[in-house]
Amino acid sequence: DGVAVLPAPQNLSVHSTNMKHILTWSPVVVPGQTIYYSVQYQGEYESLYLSHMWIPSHWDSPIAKPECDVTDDITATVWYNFRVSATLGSQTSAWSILEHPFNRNSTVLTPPKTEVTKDGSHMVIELEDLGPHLEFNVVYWRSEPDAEERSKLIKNGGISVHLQTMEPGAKYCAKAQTLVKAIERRSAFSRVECVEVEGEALPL
Amino acid sequence: KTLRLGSCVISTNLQKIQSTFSEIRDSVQAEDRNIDTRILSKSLSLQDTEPSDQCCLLRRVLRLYLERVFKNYQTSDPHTLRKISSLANSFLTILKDLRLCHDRKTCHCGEEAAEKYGQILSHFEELAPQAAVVKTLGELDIFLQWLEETS
Amino acid sequence: MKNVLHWDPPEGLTGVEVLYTVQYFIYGQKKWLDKPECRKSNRTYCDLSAETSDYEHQYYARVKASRKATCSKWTETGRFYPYLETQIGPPAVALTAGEKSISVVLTASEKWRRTLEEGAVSMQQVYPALVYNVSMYSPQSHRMWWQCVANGSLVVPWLEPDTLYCVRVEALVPGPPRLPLPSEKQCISTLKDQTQEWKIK
Repeated sequence: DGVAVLPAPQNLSVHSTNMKHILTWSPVVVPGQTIYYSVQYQGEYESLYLSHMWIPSHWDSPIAKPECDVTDDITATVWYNFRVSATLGSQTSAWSILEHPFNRNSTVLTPPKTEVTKDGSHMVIELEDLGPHLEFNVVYWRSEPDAEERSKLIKNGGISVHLQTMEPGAKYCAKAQTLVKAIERRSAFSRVECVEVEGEALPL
Repeated sequence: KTLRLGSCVISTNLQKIQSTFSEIRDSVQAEDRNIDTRILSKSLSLQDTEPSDQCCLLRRVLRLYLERVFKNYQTSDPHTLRKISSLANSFLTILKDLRLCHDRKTCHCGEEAAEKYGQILSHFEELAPQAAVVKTLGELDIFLQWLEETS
Repeated sequence: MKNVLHWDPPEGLTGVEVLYTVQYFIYGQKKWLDKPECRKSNRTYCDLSAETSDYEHQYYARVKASRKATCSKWTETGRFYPYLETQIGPPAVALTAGEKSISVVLTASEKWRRTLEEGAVSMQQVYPALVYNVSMYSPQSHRMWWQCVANGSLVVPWLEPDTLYCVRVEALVPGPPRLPLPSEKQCISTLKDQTQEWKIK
């Protein structure tokens, strides 16, 4: 059977932004050959109770690229270990294990791209769709001294959301931040965007 | 979702756990041939337990799942394996949160918790080991409904 | 909570007189129970709503076919948990149009009941955390609104006068995913803008 002459992949690391987690490693290079990789993981539960058990990543088939989206494998806010092995024909390398376990609460959270527009006299915001794990806190106000800030929780991006009705001649502003309940964290706010409705206030 | 267990209050993504289990429910329950016994009977439920004892009962049932059910459930199917791992790691997260309540002395173990958990354990141990594992895993929808009703 | 067991006739016996017998089992109890109305019946369904009305329990059902003196083995269902699996019927939806708003009043669907003499039980009582997902669509602007409401009424403001809007409502309860059962689409037009008409005079 395949003797482990193939070198094991090195430099495993997880890059995580907005709850999307990508495992990468340095490719194993054999000139003129395609190397395939297998990825397995172990949650904190397995390492505590079933340390021998490693679970195949949901990307079952061998992977030809030196990276793997492990977002769907990481489903709890606990530590996860990953290991990767390389395969060339009948040759299989040893497993290479992630040096430091990964926890999704360390993901980098960025504010969403926003587009604040007006639709007639309505203030509307559209937020970047950053995937299923993320919600958004939108803060909006009328641009005037001692303005009262209001906020709205938006469950998903990629859709226009009505914020408020605007009066002619006034300026209205909004900013947004990303929220992840599962890890109880939020991003910085996006830059402020304002819109204004032309004309003068109607006489009452 | 916020679980209120007496003065111990924790949050958990119960909907995610419920939908994870629903992906393997039919196949797991089909393995349980002892349909004339039930381990998590209604009278032992969390929601019908004194609030002050709910946290302790929950901790013990979680440990039963972690130490004796997920650990001993045998499957060669990778999909099922991943779902079990997801459930186990989610339960581990809840157990850690409950440990904080225990440290803050808000997870008292009274007579009712001991009595009810004792009955659950005796139902569990009346069955052959693997049959008990399969049955208890198959009753996860009951257990998750208990959690739903304390939220 | 209307729970009806359905099955297909045995293969190769279509058009042949086959009789069916149904039994049900309460998970954790001791024996299979008969359903008299579904004993030696030629129907390929059996209403087990009464037998499975305690929705905190789980149930199994099984069916066997018989023809003349021969009968088949039992075919058994998986475990059925009515509380988690029943589909939630859509509410009754009443729409009232204003000039720039539409008011939506929702009345929860009722739980299945044995007889009309039995008091009506609203699904809201069975599922205290029941919410409604109200979606409104404007065929003219192709714009859609969603709103989740817990109580039975909602006013959608900031609409355009004299414009057609269509509404669909779905009842949602926490727990594992269920097959959705949205209401029929209902449409209504907002009233004409009175101020415009006042200026025109």
